[in-house]
Amino acid sequence: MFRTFVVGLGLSAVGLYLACSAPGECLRHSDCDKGLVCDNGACIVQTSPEAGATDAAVAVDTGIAVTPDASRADTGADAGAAADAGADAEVDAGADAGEEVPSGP
Amino acid sequence: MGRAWLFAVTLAMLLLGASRTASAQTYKVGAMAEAVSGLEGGTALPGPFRRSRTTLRIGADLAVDEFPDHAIAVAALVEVEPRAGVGFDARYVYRLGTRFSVGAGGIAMLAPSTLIGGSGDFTVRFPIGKVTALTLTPAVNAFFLGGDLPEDTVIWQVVLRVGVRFNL
Repeated sequence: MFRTFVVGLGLSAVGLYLACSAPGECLRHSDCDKGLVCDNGACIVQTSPEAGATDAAVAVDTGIAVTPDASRADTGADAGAAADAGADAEVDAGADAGEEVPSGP
Repeated sequence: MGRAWLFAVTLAMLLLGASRTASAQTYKVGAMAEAVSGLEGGTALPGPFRRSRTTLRIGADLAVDEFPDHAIAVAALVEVEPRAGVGFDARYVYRLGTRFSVGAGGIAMLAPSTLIGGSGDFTVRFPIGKVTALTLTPAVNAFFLGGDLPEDTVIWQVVLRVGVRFNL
């Protein structure tokens, strides 16, 4: 009787164990890939004030490329075809200027 | 003067007796290798539990023949699946007869990040020779400190250790 109980208990434990899938969520930071941390059972990108400032700076830099939008707004009121041409020209010019900046000094 | 002499003689006899006892002591050393896995959960886990990491445990225990039922055990822990990690545990073990023992102590993971907690276990030995025994050890661990622990989280584990132990 006792042996049957032990065997049954063992089989139940094995079944329970096998029913558990491989760890998908995180319980520890080291469950996550590099650069991610565990937060409420999910791996998220680690955020810090310094990283946020860097991202903001990058966004400001790339914001220069927004210049064609502004010109598009100006030229769009005059003529659509001219606006496209202007935008293309400015994008090209911007790209050229962007290429020249790193190689200049 | 007489009292001081008596004190000196008594102290000398005690020291001699103690040293004679120490020289008669022999150590009982055992070595073990085990595979560990089970279930774990914590306050940060969305589900009730999940399968814990598969871990190899290699260690030794030490007892003095004067107190054969009391032992100190230390072991290295190597997490092998699904993530790697290394750590150790140290515990006090009390033998209950020839086949059973209970233990309690601390457990710590050191890499890739720290995780510190407490542990308790109950071991059943199945002798298969004069010096060898198979061991089956249900154990409970709780981690409450360390850099690997998310904020406001306690991790619990219910694991089964299966292995072999040698009397050296």
